[in-house]
Amino acid sequence: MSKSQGVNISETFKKAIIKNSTWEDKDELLDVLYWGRQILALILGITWGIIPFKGLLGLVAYVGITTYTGQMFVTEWQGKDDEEYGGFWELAKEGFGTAFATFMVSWITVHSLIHA
Amino acid sequence: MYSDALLIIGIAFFTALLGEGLTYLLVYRSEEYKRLNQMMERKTKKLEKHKEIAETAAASKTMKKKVDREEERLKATNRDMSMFRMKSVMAIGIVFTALLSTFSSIFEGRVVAKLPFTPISFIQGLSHRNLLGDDYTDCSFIFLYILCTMSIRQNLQKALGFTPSRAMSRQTQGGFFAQPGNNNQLFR
Repeated sequence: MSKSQGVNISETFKKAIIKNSTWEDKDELLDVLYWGRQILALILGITWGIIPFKGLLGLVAYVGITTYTGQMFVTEWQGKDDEEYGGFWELAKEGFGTAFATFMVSWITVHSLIHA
Repeated sequence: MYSDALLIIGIAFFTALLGEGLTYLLVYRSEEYKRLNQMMERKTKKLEKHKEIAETAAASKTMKKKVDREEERLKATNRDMSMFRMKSVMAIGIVFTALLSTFSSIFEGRVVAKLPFTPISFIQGLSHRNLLGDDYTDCSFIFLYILCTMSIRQNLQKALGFTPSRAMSRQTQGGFFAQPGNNNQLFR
């Protein structure tokens, strides 16, 4: 079972929105990154579907935004060295696959319902 | 017309709940599985600590041999866990294959959504499966269902705490699209 189950969600949320919080458990920050990426994927998918933002450029834009935002959240907002968390690729990979699927489902569904 | 997309999201959610429910009943809640899981977590943490020491220049040959032995023991425990899960996972897989076949035949030939992009050629085989015509922005049931399952099932497992720790998944598998502990999402 995942260790983060025991962590209080509201405390974790507060730490996430406050700059330069202390994270004793590295997995806790990575879990925040994971769930933040899911929420961002949902928001971008719905937004791209409404605009509509079409084509493979929409996909590329999503990948760019989610990677950049994730990196900035950890390194700038939380002030952590990305090497402590396995480097650029480990942060980029965190929840990427699932979030990509979430983005695709929301983008395709909203686009189909509104514009097709 | 494309309200089928919402229906497929509902179906994926239902099958994800069913899959996790069955896996919980047959695998996760058993004492043997919990014991093996705890052992894996303990051994993984110990191994990671010893690996860090072994990678330093000052580490002795004895230390490095110890790390190799611990890795072998970890692999053996991982194999035991896989064997334990195998029967249940296969049974659930058969149920889900049957469900997937049923839904596939219900939605055969139906355009369930309109893609906001034209997929690249090797994806078209999946996204345009069993659909008539040359409009590759037409989306088939199977493509949307796979995407829904990837999203819903993995997030459900994460939320319920059924995924192994990152340390464990580092030792056992990896990859950009890999979610810890989850193999063959569609057929479980």
